Amino acid sequence: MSNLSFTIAVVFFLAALGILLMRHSRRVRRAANSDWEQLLDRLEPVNRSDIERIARDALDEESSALGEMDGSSMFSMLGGLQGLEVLERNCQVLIDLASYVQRWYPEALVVSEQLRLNARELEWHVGRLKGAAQTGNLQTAFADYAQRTVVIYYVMTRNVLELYTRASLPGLIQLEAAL
Amino acid sequence: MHLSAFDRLFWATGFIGQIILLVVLMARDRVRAFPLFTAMVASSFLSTFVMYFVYLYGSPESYYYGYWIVGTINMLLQLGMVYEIASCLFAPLGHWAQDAKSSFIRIVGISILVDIILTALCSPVKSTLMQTVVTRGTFFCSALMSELFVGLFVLAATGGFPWKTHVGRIAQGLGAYSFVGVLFDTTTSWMGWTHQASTIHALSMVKVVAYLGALTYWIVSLWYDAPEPRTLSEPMRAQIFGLHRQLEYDLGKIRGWRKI
Repeated sequence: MSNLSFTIAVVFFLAALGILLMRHSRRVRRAANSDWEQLLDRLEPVNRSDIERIARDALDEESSALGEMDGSSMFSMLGGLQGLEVLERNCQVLIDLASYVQRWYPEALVVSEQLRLNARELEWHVGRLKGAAQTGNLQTAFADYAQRTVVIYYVMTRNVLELYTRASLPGLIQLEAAL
Repeated sequence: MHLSAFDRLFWATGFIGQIILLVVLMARDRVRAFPLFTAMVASSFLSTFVMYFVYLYGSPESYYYGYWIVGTINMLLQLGMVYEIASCLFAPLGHWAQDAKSSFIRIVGISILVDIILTALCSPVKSTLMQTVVTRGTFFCSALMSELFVGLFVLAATGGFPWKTHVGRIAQGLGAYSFVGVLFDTTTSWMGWTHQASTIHALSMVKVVAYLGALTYWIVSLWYDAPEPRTLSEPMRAQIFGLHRQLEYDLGKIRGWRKI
């Protein structure tokens, strides 16, 4: 009887490992096999001027404090948590764009690794906001995390563009239009 | 102890496969990149050789103790190999990425915990304590390796780490073989040596075939070079390093902000 429970446990164990493998191999394959157009197609549209306004509000401040913009206006400009989730998904595309460069120019690794870390940081901030949404504290947490998320995203887009410009890579015009 | 012609053929194929893999590792200069993997292949090669003679001319007790000594060394080297794979994957700049280190430690901890629970549930229908210990021990190793392989893969995929050609192939070979090991130990835990020895033996041949498959996969993939990368010109390299410094500065500034 106890051997039956062992077998059932192993079946669940192997199924869980199999599901994890399948889910993530799809992402690895997609990142490895995507060509330039496919990568750009994955970028979801965002309101660039609002993103820039929120980011500039913080970036232009000379002090060590965040900008003057309040949480509720940022919330409406970004489209709430859904808007930040779009930025999170776009971040994955930015990493893939950096990996795309790295495939051809391995020495660009140092920049793509930094972009990867930025994306992780952005995911962390969005994760905190999702947690806050579940506990009903989204409005309060939004002011704390949303601007950082937007600034990281903004800096990432600028740096990916700069990477492509400096490495004189083809497709820069399409990339600028997509970002 | 008796060995059939089929058993000898499999033993010899494994032995030759390990020699070829060692030659490939040395001839293609992979030893420096994968020293622990090379050590594991060398150890398997030596143990295949020694255990063959112990099996033929030694007593069952000497084979049992030899099996455990070899198994323990192999297990330690496999763990070292997992660390080696993780170091190649998660230290792209020569030092471990901060976000990966803690996740890797968590994966190892959770894997060991799950493995201990599963192994404790395992109560094989074997006639002796020795056979029970063997089944539990091999199950523990296979399950742990499977979990660690999946853990490494998931971490690489979620963290956006490139699943590099040679490292990825080594990990895939080890993972696939470990999965077969888990299936083998689970299936044979229902069988008793006294009445179903021939079935257990036939299933163990499947496991050997899986090992030979992994060996072949490693030989072929390590023989070929990874795609030749292009190189950056000197001014472009300087510009990219400059961009990296700018990125670090920007991020340092963002992290330093506080809401007032």
